[in-house]
Amino acid sequence: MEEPSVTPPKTQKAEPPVQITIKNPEWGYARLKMIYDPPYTAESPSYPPDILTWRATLTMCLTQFFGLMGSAIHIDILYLENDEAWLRLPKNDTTMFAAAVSGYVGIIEGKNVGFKTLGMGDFLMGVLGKGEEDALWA
Amino acid sequence: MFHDLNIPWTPTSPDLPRTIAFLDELGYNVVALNHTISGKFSQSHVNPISPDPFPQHPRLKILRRVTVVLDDPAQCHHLTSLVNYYDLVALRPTNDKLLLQACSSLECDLISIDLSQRLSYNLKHKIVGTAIQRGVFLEICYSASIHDVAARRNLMQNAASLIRATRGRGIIISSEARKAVGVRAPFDVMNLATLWGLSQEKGREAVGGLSRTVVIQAGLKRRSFRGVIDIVDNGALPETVQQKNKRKAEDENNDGKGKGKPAKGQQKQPQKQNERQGGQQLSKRAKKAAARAAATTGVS
Repeated sequence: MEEPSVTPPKTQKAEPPVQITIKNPEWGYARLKMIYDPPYTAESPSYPPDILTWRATLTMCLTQFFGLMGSAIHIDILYLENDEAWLRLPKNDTTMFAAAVSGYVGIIEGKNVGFKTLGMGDFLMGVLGKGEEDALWA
Repeated sequence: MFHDLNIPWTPTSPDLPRTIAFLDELGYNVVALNHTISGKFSQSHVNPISPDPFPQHPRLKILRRVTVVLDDPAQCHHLTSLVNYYDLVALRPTNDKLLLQACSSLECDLISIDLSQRLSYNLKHKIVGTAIQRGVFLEICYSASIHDVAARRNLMQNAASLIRATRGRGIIISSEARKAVGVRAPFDVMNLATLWGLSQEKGREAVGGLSRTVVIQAGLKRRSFRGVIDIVDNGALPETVQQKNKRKAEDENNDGKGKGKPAKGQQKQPQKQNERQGGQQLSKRAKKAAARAAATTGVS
């Protein structure tokens, strides 16, 4: 036997959407890929590069371009996957960082190494989403 | 007015007189000698710095300060006793929990983190903002970066992140120089601060205005009641004013003998001045009579 129908509760008035303007984001996010020439084979013990290699290479890169001020840029390595890294740095320093990273060529274990910027922006989700978008259409 | 609120002091400091002389020459007005304490200290602590250590520099005001290196929470209980012995009390927390405690609840004038080493934690706006709202300011010490390259890099990174976390407010800069060569002139310090991300006017405040606020606030805490009353002297008039008042009282007495004392509230001073200048002391009645006589002779 079905229950007698009950009138649905009165719907609450929808609250107006909250609007937030983010004027000065504190952090900028970057997604970098370390490129080796000639490339590593998949079985090599040095691949994928570990966090210390990333840290040392980034410091060398920034020191080469901007000296002490460059090496003093605060960089947080958020996540590593294969040869990609997700980085966080203060918003003011993103320009310097982008400039240093784009032109850097170094040598690790006899191989030439450089960085490829996969994305840079104010929001981590935006930066990651862009990379996934490329994978979608590949 | 330029302040350098951190000059390390030890019982045997061979370089200290030269450092103080150099600071005087560079134009600093207020200097604080800093005694660092770490570990446990007793309630009945004695200030080892003598009250007037450098009388040969009369233009330089010398304050006495203590920095307590906070290693463990048990030190926090005795902090209030230090307030009576030193002009400034500063805390140096060594980890983030102690930093949080120092910023939110501990009684001090300054929080001075050692920025020349790698910090194992991030400086967050919420934590340092609480300190600044309470009136506890944060200090950056620049001298460590002068000799050591690694310290310079760490200092730059940490100072930049501290300035970002505080949005530039509530920061003072001091030297912590152990030798005279580690001290820089006030405007050079301001330029150095712009490298770390502090704007020009905030840098000027960090060396002058805000440091003065710190010193005055610390003084108020010690000498006034609820920040309202500070009696400067007992209200006795200075000597020159006392003599003037005596003369005035004497003059009033002399004129009063001629025709009765002037009524209260009536200021006959300008008139008396004129009479005195004329060389004669004419009473009002005599003057009226002379005026009447002059009028009648003039008419007739």
